[in-house]
Amino acid sequence: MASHKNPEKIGNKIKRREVQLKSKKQKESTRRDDRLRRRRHEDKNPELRQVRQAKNVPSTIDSKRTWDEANEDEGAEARLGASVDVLNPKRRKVVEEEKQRPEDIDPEAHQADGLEDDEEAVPVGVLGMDVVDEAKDDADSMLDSASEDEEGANDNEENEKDPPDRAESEAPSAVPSTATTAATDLALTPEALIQKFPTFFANTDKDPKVLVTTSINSPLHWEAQLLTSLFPGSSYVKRTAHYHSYKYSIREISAYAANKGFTHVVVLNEERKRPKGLDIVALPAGPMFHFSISNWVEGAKLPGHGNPTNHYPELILNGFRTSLGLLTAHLFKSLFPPRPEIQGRQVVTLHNQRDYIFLRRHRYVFREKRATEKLIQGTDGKPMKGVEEIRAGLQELGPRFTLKLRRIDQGIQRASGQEWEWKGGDEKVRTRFSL
Amino acid sequence: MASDEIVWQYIGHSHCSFKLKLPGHNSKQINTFCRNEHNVTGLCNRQSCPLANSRYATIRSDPATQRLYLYIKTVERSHLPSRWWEKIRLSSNYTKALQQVDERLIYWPKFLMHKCKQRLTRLTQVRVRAQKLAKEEERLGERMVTRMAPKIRRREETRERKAEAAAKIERAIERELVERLRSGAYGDRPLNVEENVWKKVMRGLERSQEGERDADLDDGVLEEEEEDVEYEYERETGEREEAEVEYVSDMEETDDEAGDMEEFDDWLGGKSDDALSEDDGEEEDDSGSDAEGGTAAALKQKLEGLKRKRAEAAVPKPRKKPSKGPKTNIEYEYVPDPPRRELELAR
Repeated sequence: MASHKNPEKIGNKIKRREVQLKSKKQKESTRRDDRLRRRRHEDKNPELRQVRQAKNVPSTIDSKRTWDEANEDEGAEARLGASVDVLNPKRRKVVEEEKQRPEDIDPEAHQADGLEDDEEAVPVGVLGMDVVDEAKDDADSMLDSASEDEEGANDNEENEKDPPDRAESEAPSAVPSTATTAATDLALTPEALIQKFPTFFANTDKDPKVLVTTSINSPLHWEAQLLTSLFPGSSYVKRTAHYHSYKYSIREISAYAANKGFTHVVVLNEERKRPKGLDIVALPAGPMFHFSISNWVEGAKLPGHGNPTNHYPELILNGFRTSLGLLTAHLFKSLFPPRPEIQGRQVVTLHNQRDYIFLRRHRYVFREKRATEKLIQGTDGKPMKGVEEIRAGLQELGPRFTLKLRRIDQGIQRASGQEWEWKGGDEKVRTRFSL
Repeated sequence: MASDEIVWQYIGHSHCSFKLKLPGHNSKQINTFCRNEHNVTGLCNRQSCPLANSRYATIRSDPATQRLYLYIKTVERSHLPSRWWEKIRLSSNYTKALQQVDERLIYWPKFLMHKCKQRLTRLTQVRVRAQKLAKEEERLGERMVTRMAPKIRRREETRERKAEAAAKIERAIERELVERLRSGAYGDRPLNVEENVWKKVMRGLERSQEGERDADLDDGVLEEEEEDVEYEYERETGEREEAEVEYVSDMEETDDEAGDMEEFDDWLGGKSDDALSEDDGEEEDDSGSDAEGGTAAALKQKLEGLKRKRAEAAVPKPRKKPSKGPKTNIEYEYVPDPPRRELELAR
């Protein structure tokens, strides 16, 4: 019995439900049959599958990522918060062209110099030489294995028709971005950024010494202890001795820590007995990074977890592309000892996806691939060559949590001025990310 | 003055909009408070009510400057409501302020003077404590991290979930670790790999290199400059295609396998590592364009020939001995292994 408005509609609810269920099952069944038939067909002829998959590439937010307009002046890279793909090979292309026309560039460079007072001016005309230096330098300060962007490489390939297979983020390029890069830890860090934070990027070979503490009157002692296991060479000091004791401020603590030879102070903020934020101070008087923590899960609660040893872990930094991202990546890198003990087979991963930094800690093992497993896929979606018989098994250790960068202070705490601050308005555009 | 009584009869017993009745700690107690800002005690009494007294005095603080003022209301001005209150600034010195109150309220009823002084005392104490707290706040820096608006919080939770799904973290980790292994960042005999697994990796690499060589040779001299300079850092997929292509020999891949080495050694008339490593050094420094240009053509021919033979040789096992080509001085540009992705050495 159908109304005149919608002839399909059945008035009887029970009957209507049955009919809808039936049609749904029917549709699903036909789709399933098609799918399975296609699979059987393609199993016989795998090329068809590849063709089809090449045609039907799903579009993801990451592939649709929008960037802010990048100015070509030298100071652009140092400007945090501009969502500019600092490590984009496209920018390398620009540099290539510029290299060939140094005479054209020079007046512009000088203009740029004039405009930016404090920002150093990289003499662009010297690019050619720098490239060669770069090559030599990079041979020494080799590939920063700590910083890779696997995901991003995929996007980038889709973006331009450049020589493909270019790892995006940290694989040092002989051809630098618009600014010349001195050899640094994160080898592609633009010069402008480095000069903006000279002490921060000044790298030493010594192990970091981290002081872990909490907010005032915080009960998160166990969580802070977990953090000490995460950062090698760290120690936890209680923030308040007792409720009525003198409350030391972060500034004071940083001063004391700097005197004692610490490199970082990590403050764990809490809300309702749960970790809510992480403030990291780069001593002495360095920039202070504020993160918010979500989804803190300690190791014991993870299914199939392992117990960490105190070997220095390796570090993987994925997905940091803008200047801000590079800054953060450098911070994380400096928190860990530079020479990992690979016999420990532990790895700490900081994976940035859409401005959320996922911190994970694993113990890995390279093992033979079982017959039922798939091959390891590279970022282009194709299986990686040379390692067809290998898989890496991962056992999760220790705490896992998600960080989101909220603020960077120039000195210590809010009063010292902000380099960058998270604003809700930045996230209005779904495809725009700051890191 | 006469009107005071009438006023009080109404507001005291009936309704006053400033009156506030609150329960005390005993169930029987109900305290009446006065919310009028000029009230000196804060309670609703005949003596304390600023509306029911034409002669009144109180102490109030200026919210901006935290200075204390004495407000005086006299009968003489009761017909000018807009000018009721005379505002006198008191000294910030407590004792001096007390003296000031004394001299201003001399001959006034004791109640008012007393209450004014009490209020003065209390307000100074409050001011001192507020200053202390502000200083403490300032020293400690921020204490309060504001709560996030629920809409934003929910949005972020959702986005985080989606981001985590899109990230495929474990896959990325695996990919990265295997890439490091493959590219040799762990060294020649890595500590984190078992023997047989490492062997498999090596074998896999050789196989892939050989396969690629064949394909690449056809391309000839590609975008030499760029690729050459960059290739060291292209750790991707071991396809060191374009640059090194021309002069690549199979040999360098099979370095690790003694068996193959010997074969090729014979074949090439003993030219193996030494020559290759020399060229290696050169190539790394400059783009190698010079060397390439000269011998490009000759080498291409040679390698074409080699390729076919090598293909034949590779496939069947055991290998056929490849037929020896003409004995010429073949100059090889040695292409090193895929760039070692060294572990972080903080420079």
